[in-house]
Amino acid sequence: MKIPTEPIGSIPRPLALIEAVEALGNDSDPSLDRLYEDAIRDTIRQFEATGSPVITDGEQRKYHNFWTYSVEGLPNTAPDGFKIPFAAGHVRRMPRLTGGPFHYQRYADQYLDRALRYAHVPLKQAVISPSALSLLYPEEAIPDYPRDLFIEDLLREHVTEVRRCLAKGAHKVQIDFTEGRLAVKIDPTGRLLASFIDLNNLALGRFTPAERERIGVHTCPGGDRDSTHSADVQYAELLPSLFELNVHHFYIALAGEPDRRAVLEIIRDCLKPHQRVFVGVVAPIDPRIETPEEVRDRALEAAEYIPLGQLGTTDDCGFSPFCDDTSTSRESAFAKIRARVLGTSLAERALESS
Amino acid sequence: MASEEAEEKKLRRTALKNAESILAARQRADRELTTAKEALERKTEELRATFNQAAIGIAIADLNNQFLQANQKLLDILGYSLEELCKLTFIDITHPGDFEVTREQVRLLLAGKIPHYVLEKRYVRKDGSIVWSRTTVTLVRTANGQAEHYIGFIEDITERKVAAELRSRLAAVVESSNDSIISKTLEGVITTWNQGAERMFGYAAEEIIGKPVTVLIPSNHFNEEPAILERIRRGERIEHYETVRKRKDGTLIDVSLTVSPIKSFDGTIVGASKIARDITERKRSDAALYAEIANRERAEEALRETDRRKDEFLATLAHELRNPLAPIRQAALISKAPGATEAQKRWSHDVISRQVHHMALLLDDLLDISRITRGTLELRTEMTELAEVIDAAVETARPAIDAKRHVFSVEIPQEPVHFAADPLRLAQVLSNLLTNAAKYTDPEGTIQLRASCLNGMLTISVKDSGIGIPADSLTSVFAMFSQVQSSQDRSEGGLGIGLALARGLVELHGGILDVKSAGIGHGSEFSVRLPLRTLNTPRKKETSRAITTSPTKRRVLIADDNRDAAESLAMLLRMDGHEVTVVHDGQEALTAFHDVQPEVALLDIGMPELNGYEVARRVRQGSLGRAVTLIAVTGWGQDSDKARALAAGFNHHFTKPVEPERLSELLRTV
Repeated sequence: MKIPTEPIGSIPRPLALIEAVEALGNDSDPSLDRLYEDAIRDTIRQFEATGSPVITDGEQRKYHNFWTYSVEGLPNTAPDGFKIPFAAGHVRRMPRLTGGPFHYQRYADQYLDRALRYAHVPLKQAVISPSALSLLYPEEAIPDYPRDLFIEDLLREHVTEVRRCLAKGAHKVQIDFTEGRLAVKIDPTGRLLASFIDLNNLALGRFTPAERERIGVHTCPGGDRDSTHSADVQYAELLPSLFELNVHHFYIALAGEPDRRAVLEIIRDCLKPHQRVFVGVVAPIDPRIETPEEVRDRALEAAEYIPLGQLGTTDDCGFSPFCDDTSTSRESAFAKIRARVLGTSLAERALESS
Repeated sequence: MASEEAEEKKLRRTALKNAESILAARQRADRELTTAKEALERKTEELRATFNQAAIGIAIADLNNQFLQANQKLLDILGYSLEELCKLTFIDITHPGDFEVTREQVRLLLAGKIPHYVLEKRYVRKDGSIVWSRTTVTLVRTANGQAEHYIGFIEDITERKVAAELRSRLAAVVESSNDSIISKTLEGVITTWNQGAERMFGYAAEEIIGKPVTVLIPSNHFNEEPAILERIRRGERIEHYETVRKRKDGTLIDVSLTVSPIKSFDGTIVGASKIARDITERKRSDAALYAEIANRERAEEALRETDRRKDEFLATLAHELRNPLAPIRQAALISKAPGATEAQKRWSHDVISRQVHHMALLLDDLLDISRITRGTLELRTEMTELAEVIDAAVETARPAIDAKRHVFSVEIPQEPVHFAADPLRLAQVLSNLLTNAAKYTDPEGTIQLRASCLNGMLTISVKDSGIGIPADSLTSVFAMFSQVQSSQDRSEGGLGIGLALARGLVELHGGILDVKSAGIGHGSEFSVRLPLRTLNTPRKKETSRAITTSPTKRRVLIADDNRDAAESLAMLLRMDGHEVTVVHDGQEALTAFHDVQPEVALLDIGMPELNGYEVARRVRQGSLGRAVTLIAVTGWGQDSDKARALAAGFNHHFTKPVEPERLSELLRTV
């Protein structure tokens, strides 16, 4: 039985690129084009070299991060949005919407345009969830642009982005929903999480069943600089709601969980027959490179709880969700990916021999 | 830390405010969904109604070809209930003749080679009957392209197919018809042309279509076409109009035309169809039939004419036979009157003799014409000398010629002319012609007999200055019972068979008898033309017709139940010196044979007790019978009668009345 395996998305940028962007203070200077191109080409080459059957472009051109890439540079935003605190003590700040109407500054399909030139294997594309971007709207209502209208604009823009990616030939479009745990963290009543699930389902409801076959949702504690924003929130509070999302594929960080079996039990209980769950078998925030055997064992462990027909493996999270994160090297990232690929194959063999 | 908490609270408040909007959005979405669902349900219901009430059969079948759903129209078309149909595949109800093409189309459909297929195919209805359909089948796929089911649209086109087949058959009938079937516009332009027309007129369709129909019409019939078209425009049909048309080679053909209007779908008359039948053969057979009828009518008329002549002949015969009776009766009374002088008695005997001779001639002519008519008269051909024949004829006719004081002349070749002929019959012909000439020429007329030989032919003509013959009677004078109507016909007497007999006798000689006349009052000229043939046998010595007194006395037995006939004949013979015994029946005759042993016996055939044949047979069987000369004397003169007499043992056969001269000659020579 084949166990599908896919990455989450980001790969650390080459240092030269990070330094050049920092030096210029923006990401769109034409002088960066060649560095971006080199980074994309090299990332795809190395990605394919890992043997991963599905790859990404490593999100080499997402600026400034997986969360805000689509609104970076919008004129109707201000940099003083909400702060996202991480366990390591640093914070990331979101932009704040200052006026309507709301439009994306860019759609992620433009990254596919580049990557598809170099890729020889299926490419997947990660996009940010509407629930994450809903936090752009400030507490106080924006004059002449009511919140309800913003929510409609947000849904429309999200659906547009996903459809554009699908149309470009993305093997999968993965919606990053890292704020799931964060929602539980900031609103233990679960009301906020339910609201996020509702919002995302409103978006997913606009896709056809065939489109939904190629859409997945990723959740993790939110990794940045080897720390998370919500690892302290138990999956038990998230997963039952997560599997209510009207989608077929789930990418769930598991390798970094302290009690994987407990999580797997929850997944087993909540997973619906038409859903497949890709469990994280390598942890980007863990500097140590997992061995293929470790990965194999984690996959086999998951197979104890999840029917093989609904099981897949993945990375717990992107290796560099923020473009300036240098906590993990490219080499480590690819080594971990290679371990995931090899370990998954070992698990397949083990399962076949058993 | 406090600021982090404040930040988090703010984030929470904001998120919860968002949640309210999200909830509102969800509610809107739910309402829209509800509305959409309701609309979908309405649409579905509409589609279901459309499906069920469609005028075309609609069915859904799974990928195993099994029916899943069908509308009422399809159930009506196929005759199955829905439950029955859903147990079948669409292959099950496909006509075997359309299996292969259906399967091939399904294969192409499943392979994605065609988006749908359209077939005119047959289905077998539940009752076994065949229904023709126009079937359109589409493969319905899921959103991801997976084949899901078939949807088929089935239109019943049986009526159209049957109509098309009928049209096809009609077209075949039209095309194969021997009749010419063409159509033309109201302007007379030919628009269709079948093979029958090609055969009849010689034009191929491609060379005549588009041409005016007048190319088929002879110029003297041009006026027919406008009249025909005018009637067609009025919606009239023209049937069996017989006329003449012209072929490509210019020859004419008799045709019978039937012309009908051609109407468009809205009833407007747009042209005419014309069926032309070749009636040349019929016309020819009609003409033959009419000729046959005319011939028959002529033949019937001829028969009626013959019948009429026969009636006239019988009346004439009765008259002619009755005429001699009066003088005979009177002469007989005179001769036996007590005061009759010897001169009166001799005169009476002459009258009786002459009248009897006349009657005998009449009866001879009758017998001869009968023999000629039946082809039984035989000539006694011998080498004959022309002058002798003419002498004999003149001798016979002389009394009639002299009686009317005609000037009679004879011109014959100086040299003797010898040829093969029956001299008696030929003399009979010439005497007949001479007697006729004498009879039909006023007294003191002229009669010329000429004979000449030229190029192996002998021509003997008898020309008179008599009453002549009208031109229209020149041929009929030779007919049986014919006499030219004139004031003299009856006065001159005769049966009207003389010329018929003469022509018959001449033709038996291989010759021709014809007549010329310049008309009434201009005389006539009859000509006998004979081939001058010879015979190897020597010429017979002519027997004299003259009555010679027999020097030999014979014992003669006469047996006849007609006592007068028997006694008068006996008297004549006794006057010649013969010893005569008379009896009146067959039995007496046999007795007399033994008693008198006659040398010659004259036996009537129709006698009581024993007829003449039987007497002859018995006489011949006896010892005395071998020497006696038996002579049959009877009113029956046919050849068969003569043959029968000879077979019974008679030596000779005489027809009544017996000519005394001939009998005397016979008695002299036996």
